Amino acid sequence: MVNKREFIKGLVALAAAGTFLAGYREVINRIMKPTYTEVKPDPIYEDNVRIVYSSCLGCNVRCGIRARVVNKDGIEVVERIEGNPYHVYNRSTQLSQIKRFSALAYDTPVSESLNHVGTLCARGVDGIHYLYDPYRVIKPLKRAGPRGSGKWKVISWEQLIREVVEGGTVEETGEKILGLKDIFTYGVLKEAGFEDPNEILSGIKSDVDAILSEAKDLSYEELLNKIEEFKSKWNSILAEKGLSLEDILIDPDRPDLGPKANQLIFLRGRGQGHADYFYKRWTYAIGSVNWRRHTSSCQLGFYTGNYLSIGYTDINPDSIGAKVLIMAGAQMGRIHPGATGQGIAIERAADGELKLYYVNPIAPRTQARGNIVWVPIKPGEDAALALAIARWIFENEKYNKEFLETPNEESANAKGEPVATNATWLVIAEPGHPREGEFVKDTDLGLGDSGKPVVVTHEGTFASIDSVDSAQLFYQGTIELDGESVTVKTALQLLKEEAYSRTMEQWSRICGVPVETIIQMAKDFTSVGRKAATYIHRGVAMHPNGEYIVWAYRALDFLIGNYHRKGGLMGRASHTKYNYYLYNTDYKKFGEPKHWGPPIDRCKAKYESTLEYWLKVKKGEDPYPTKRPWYPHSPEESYTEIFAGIKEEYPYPIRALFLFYANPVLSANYGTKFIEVLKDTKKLPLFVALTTTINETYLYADYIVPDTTYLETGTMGMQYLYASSGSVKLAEAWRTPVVMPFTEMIGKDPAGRPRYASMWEFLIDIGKMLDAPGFGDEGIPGASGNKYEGMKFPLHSAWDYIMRVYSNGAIYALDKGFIPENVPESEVRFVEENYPIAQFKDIISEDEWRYVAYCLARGGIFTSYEESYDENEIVLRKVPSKRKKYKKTFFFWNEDLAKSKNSVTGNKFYGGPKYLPPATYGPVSGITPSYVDRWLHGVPLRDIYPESEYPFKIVIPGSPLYTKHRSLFYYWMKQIMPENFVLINPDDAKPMGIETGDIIKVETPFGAIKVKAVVEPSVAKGTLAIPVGMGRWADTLVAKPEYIEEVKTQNLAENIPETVEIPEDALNPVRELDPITKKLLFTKSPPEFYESGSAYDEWRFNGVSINPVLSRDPSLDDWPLLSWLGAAQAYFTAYGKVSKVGVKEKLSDPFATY
Amino acid sequence: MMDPSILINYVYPNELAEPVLWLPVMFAYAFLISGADLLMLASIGFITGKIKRAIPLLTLLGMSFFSVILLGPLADLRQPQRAGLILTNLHIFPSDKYPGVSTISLYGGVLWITTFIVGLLFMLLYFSYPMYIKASRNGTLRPLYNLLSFGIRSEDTYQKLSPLLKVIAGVLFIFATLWGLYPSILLTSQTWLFIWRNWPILPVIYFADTFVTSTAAAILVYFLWKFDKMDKEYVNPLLKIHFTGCLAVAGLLILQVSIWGWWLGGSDFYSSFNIVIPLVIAVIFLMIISAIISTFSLRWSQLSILVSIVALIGVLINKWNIMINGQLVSRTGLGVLELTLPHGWFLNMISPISLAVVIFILITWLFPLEVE
Repeated sequence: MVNKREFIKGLVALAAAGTFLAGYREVINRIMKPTYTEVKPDPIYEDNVRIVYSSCLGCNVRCGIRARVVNKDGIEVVERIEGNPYHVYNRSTQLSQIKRFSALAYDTPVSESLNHVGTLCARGVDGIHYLYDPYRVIKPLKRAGPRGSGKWKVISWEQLIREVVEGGTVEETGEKILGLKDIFTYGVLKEAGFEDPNEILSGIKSDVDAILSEAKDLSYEELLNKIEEFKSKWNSILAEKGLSLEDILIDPDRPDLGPKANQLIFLRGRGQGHADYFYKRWTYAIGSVNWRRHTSSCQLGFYTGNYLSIGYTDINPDSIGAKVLIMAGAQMGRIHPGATGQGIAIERAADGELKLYYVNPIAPRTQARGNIVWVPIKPGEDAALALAIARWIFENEKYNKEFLETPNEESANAKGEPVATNATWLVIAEPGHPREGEFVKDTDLGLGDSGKPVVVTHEGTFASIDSVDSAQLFYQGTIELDGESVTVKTALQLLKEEAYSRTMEQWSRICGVPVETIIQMAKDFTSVGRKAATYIHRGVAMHPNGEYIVWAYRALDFLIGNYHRKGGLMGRASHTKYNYYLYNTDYKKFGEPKHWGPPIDRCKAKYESTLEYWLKVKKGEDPYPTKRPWYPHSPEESYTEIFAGIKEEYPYPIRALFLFYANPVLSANYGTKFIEVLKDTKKLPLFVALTTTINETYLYADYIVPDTTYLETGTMGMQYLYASSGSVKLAEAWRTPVVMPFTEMIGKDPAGRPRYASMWEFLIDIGKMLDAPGFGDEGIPGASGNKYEGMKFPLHSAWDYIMRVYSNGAIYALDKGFIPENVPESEVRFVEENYPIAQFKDIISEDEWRYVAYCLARGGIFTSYEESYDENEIVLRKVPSKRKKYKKTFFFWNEDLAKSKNSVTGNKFYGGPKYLPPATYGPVSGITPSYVDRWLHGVPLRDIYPESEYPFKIVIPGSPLYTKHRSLFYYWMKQIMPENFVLINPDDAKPMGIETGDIIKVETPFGAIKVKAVVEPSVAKGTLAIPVGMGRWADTLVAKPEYIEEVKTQNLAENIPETVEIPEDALNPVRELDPITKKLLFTKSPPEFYESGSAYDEWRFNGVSINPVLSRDPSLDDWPLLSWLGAAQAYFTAYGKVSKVGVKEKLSDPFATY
Repeated sequence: MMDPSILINYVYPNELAEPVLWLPVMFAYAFLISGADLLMLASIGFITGKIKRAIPLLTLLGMSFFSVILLGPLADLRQPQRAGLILTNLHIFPSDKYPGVSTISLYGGVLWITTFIVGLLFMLLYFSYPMYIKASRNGTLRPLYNLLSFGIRSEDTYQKLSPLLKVIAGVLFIFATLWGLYPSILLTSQTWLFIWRNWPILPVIYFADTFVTSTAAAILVYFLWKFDKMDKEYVNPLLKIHFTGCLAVAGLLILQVSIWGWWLGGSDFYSSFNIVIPLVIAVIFLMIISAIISTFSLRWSQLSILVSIVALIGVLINKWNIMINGQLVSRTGLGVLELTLPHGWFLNMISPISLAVVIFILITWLFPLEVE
């Protein structure tokens, strides 16, 4: 008989058993009936695996990668990408996995290298999805409706080439499309019967140069007569073959604008190694000056600031040797050397070897045990911080006196300094004097006739800069100039006065950094000798005043004399002569047509050297304002000014645009403005897109040329590394195909080698059909001074070109002792058994191939940190410079800038580091600036968009996961961070009742978007941060951006088609893969996505981009806001307000499968 | 304010990982590990000779819970049928290819089976003579009881076994203590999560908590077993240990909150602890209340049910707070995530605990809860 207690126990046991079964049933089910397909562990070393060392293109950093390619039933699948342990950024992982300071020794046998692995960021690992992107275009397309209609049809490769050269017709609309032949000046001359077209072009150019050099001394009538004489002369010469100047020049009355070929623009986005050199070569082969880059949307403000002060564009610190860094506007995990390469600075900080001040409105991603200090700052006001630090340095005399007192390069070298500065040079500082801003020259004071600047000796006398080895740093006095008493100051005196123009408290109020933090930064910066540096990038530079900010920071480096030294600032590492050693694979001296004229964006071009200027001046007209500004100090190019130039036909009309690897519509502030140009078939009669997918810009193209990715032949070749390139003597990554291309096979070259649709083959075929120099049987000349001098080699395929590039690099490295003379057979065998490129080894000699193979087996050529410095800790590289003189002199004052003028007002620019608030380029009618400074030519933006109306500043940070807007194919990363949002500080959010997940409206003066809020104090108060990389509306397919509420003065929705019509067989290289691989690649998506290629997948288009409603410049017809000196896109200067829309949504959770 | 001396990552809240990676079933896991706490207390009791009468209950309850703890992580696996592979491919020695040691492998694959065997050995030998006595009183199951007596048929022989049992108890104490600390080791090693990474005395708190959990569980079962016939001699030693444990846990939690304030007080990061501090305070109060009631219970044994219930509520809240709320602060240390519990989470959570209850009831039919 069971008692009551036992009975209850029994009941409890039964109930508990029931509960267990109910709760655990699903687990038991999963155990009993598992729904999975067993995949054996990744094959890594088996026979059917190939291993290829190459270079990444997840961002522009150029890390080293090692790809594993598995043969699955005859189909090769890239299964894994990891870091290259030989590469200076990726560094070998050691057993302890704690310290990863060193790369694998370069002479380590490749077989041994397989036991090591380099680090690689998430984007690098996810490069697989760039290759396996169902939205990839693999066949040539032509539009089958009006531009931007989203209607496409497949055409053959032959038709593509023929129509691009000779012109075509859009059958569906009847529109005629221009052929390149019409503007190929060289070809026009040749076809007319001129045996050597370059003789004609050189003659014309020489006469144009003569007119320009005489213009200054001629009257208006004399100048017009000169032009008429020129026209008459050349019209008669050309008439002999039935031509006239109208056939050759854009405008015979303005011959300085150059030949018609200039009406072609080749514009690229991300430029990489030999893709960049190759299309530059092609553009020059056509005879156009308009090889243009995307730099304005990248880092042009940074480049221009460096260029003005240092004479070189790309400068950054040695993070391995530095003890203190001021990292301003340089995003952690993003900026060179990228997420992987930056690890070294973070590791050192965590170990207490480095103190890093992270000056940024957004918090760093690590504080490294307190050694990384976040210094929140107001965007665009960094110059105030830098000048405050400079003030403290002056007040406490913590500058490097001996270094700064050295006035010339020879004296500096004699003292063991790699560079000098112009701190002691005298500047004419008399306000309003016609020569204000120029250096006092020895000719002014009767000290000589060299025209060299003058200094004040320690004895108080004047002397030419090269006659003394030390001079006074701070001097203010007067000199007699043409009978007039004129104030003069040393360049450093001018900086000191600028630094002293405000108190520390006033500087602090401007930039928002507390005085005590500024002082601590200054103390630390000057407490470690020369092992401190600024580490800056686009965050401080992409503002209207960006160049002055960059310069103010760089002045701090000059003050301590840290350049070209261990722990200090550096340029890029050296690289091999990969373009000109055995073969001339360069973009010049291969017989290219003579070209001249200003580029369409007027960057690196001087208005005051044009006939437009002289004709106005001589006619007695005010030469200012110009139709669009000129940017003589910009070292690279500007998206906005390219499109504004096309729209305004200034300085001349454009007929054809070839766009490669770019998306200006989405990546520039208010880039949607460019759509107006892209849709206009009159202003832009031919638009050719070279791309892997059809983005927001390519949507308006006439032809789509399918391109290859970097894991195929895309951008293959050598990649120099950006500053400071692992701080080593020589480093370059080599990119080589991991697999053969997935694009359409278009035939074979005369030697029977396969050719695949790509940028390479497209430009080769165009070049051959036009009979342009540098293509075909004798396309590649042997380099002079070497064994192939006088010989010619064929260029019929990408292989012909790239194998010779490799050979140049390898033989140079051999001759300089970077690689061994006796290459082990095993190294060559490794490449021949693993690398697709090896099948083309017969293009070069057997000897050359051995050395090429040695470098390919290591993914490049790298030297070690230890061997890169001399006993004085000076880096064993050349001091890089783009200047013609004073190549090793750093400028506190730039005379050329001080002499140049604002294109709207005609007033001079200030020639040194200075605080000026973010402002328009020129005056804005109806607004009187509240900030008075004679060097400010525009209107402070806060006068137009006051804080009372737009209380927030908006920044658009990148992240280690997303780089601009070309990252959406990174499928795994998209699952790590599925959507973006606006970051808002709790102190700002709370009063408005905004919580994480609230949809809020972010309104700028130019429109509004709706976006989810994330409330975190990781963004400075008063700043909104919207990470870039999402909010796409076109990527082969289209999706209307519902998040954009309004783009003022534009109807964006009208410019985006409802749907895309595109033949399925033109897309999707994924289809052929085995089912398991496809499932593993696309875990989150339905099979239609990866089976068809034209099925919509939501994740690809989610998130937001605020770029369409970012700042414009009302003084320049509301085109996107630019920096004043470099024409950089000022996308970090933006103002806004926020309001709740009353909807709350959960942030998308990541979709992590493990 | 002092700079935190640890790495603080800045990552967006929806970046990288599921907001709550370890779901409530893992909370159950942490709770089941309390079986080790009971075994630890039983072994101490045996070695010291204190709480002698509670040893059978502590041992049987401890073994019941300990035997099912791997069901927690098993339910958390996406492919549970592969669990065997995990246990047979342990990564417990560092190699060139796989440097480091996996704590999870070490515990799940080595320490669990070892502790279980040692615990079982202790239990069987401890009950050997009592099973002989039980055999002599029961007819039907006599052969089984005789079998489980392992030939120990006299008190004298049983006494001779005592030194061996003490050695086994000593080993069991070490293993059980390692297991009792395991959740805290596991959590603090997950350095990407802000709260766990910044809970430096979590292992000590867990150690103190083992005494609270084990005594509270034992008192609860004892109350249900004896109800109105509770014996002071049985329950008071447990109450004394419980009292000390409660005060220790409360004190350590106060210390931890103070450390947070000292480290990060006044900084933006401090506010992130608001996700756990309210419940920490609640636990402190519950521990203190339980401790106070336990002093009264020494005199009025019936009150000990309150001691147990209040303490167990505190223990559950504490474990939930650490395990679940601890995951809700983003990697930035600055943002707080929203907790979304999966469908059927409660049933899933209590399911392995229920099996432990079933096992306990079954073995109490076999083994006596009281040994003379």
